[in-house]
Amino acid sequence: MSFIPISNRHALLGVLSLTVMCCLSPPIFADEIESSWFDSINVSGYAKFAASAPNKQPTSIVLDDLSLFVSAKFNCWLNPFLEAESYDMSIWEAGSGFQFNNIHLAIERLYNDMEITDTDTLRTGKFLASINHWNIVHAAPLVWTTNRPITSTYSRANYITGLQLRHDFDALTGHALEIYAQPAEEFNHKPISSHERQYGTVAGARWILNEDLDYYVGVSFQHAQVAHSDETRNSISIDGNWQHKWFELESELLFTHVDTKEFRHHGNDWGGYVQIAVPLVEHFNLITRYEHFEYADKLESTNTELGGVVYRPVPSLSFKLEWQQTQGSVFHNQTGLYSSVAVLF
Amino acid sequence: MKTLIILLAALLPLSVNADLYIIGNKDLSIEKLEKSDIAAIYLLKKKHWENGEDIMPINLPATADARTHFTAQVFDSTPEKLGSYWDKMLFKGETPPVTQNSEQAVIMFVERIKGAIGYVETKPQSSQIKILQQFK
Repeated sequence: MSFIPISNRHALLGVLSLTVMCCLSPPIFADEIESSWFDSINVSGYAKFAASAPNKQPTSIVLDDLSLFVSAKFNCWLNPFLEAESYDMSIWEAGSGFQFNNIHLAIERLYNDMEITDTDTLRTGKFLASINHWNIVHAAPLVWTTNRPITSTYSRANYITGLQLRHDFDALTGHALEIYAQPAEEFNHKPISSHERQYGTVAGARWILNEDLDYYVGVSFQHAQVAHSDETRNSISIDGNWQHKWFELESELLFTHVDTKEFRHHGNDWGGYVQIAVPLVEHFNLITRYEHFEYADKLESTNTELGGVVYRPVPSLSFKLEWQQTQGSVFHNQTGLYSSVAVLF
Repeated sequence: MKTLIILLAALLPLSVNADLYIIGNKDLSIEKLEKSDIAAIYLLKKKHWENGEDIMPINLPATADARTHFTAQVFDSTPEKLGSYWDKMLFKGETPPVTQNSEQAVIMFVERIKGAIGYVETKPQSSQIKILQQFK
């Protein structure tokens, strides 16, 4: 079973109570510290409320993500990490009113890191696939828009259940190589729509040329076998981000060759986006993005223009309001107005 | 008013020119840390001392002058940018530096925790502390 529906308001209250407890827990101060295994454990999380008014769909308010992650650093060999997520919880919808009986839970990440040497780390379990920076850092408070670019998520396996080896060439510049493999299907996967795929065996790599406070650049490869299908996908992408004093520029380009005996309009998925964030005044930021994407299995490509405002008083809290205009084949996110509040705690 | 301006002008260079001390516990096996090592530690990339013990970087609140000084000196950047970086590292499963409310709390922390490293603008007098680097 890939998710757990619960028709019980007490479960929701339990999750929210835990969240509030985590938010209100006092910081640790030096004179309170006693050495114990509990000091090695860190509990955090994030929440995202989204209000959307897309064309051809009802206006709705959704608790899109309520995520708790627990990590621990015991020694070189035992560094477990768990992220449990409640997602897509509809709170209110035009025509239907308030609803509190639709909770989905999933194990988003569950892995252990073994520090083999100072520069080599072996990760085993379920983790986010190193396909681009957005996928690795996709928490709503950390990204600029409510809606995610298609290029950053579509066409490749976003999660891996298997192994990953990371080698750091240079700690200061972030120059590193990550190689991963998934021998079978993803553990505890979320339900997929007709536009998405479940992946079987997957292998890939990400070469991070630089990742510091000013910019990152990464090149990613992935070979994936679609589960219960003869389809294989080989993708290559490059993504980068440059944080200048006066703007933040981000882009990704993706090409995926799709190999299958089934009918496809095109032999490849390909696309890319360019996004610019410009600081205005008092923590307000202007966001614009243009994306073009062509699907192997759709006749028409998608062109998306997005413009919005983000208020980010501190890095871990953001209020977003954006208008998205979509033409052509629509994978998700129709033309419309989207807003969200997201906090990292 | 004129007196006030002269007074402010006299005080301003003092705050700008305050020294910054990178401090560690006296039991650390090293005597000096290069700027690149300090940066790697606070970027959460360098996690262990040479003897294998865990490094625990200590931070001051985002509004502290010493933090602005530290971020400018070591990273040529701003506390906001570094804070945003740490939030991303938190999501990746890395624990950001522990924040202490004052320089005195940083000194107390480093005195008690062997693997801790911190930064202060006031030169510590404690015998339990060693200065690993000093910036003007």
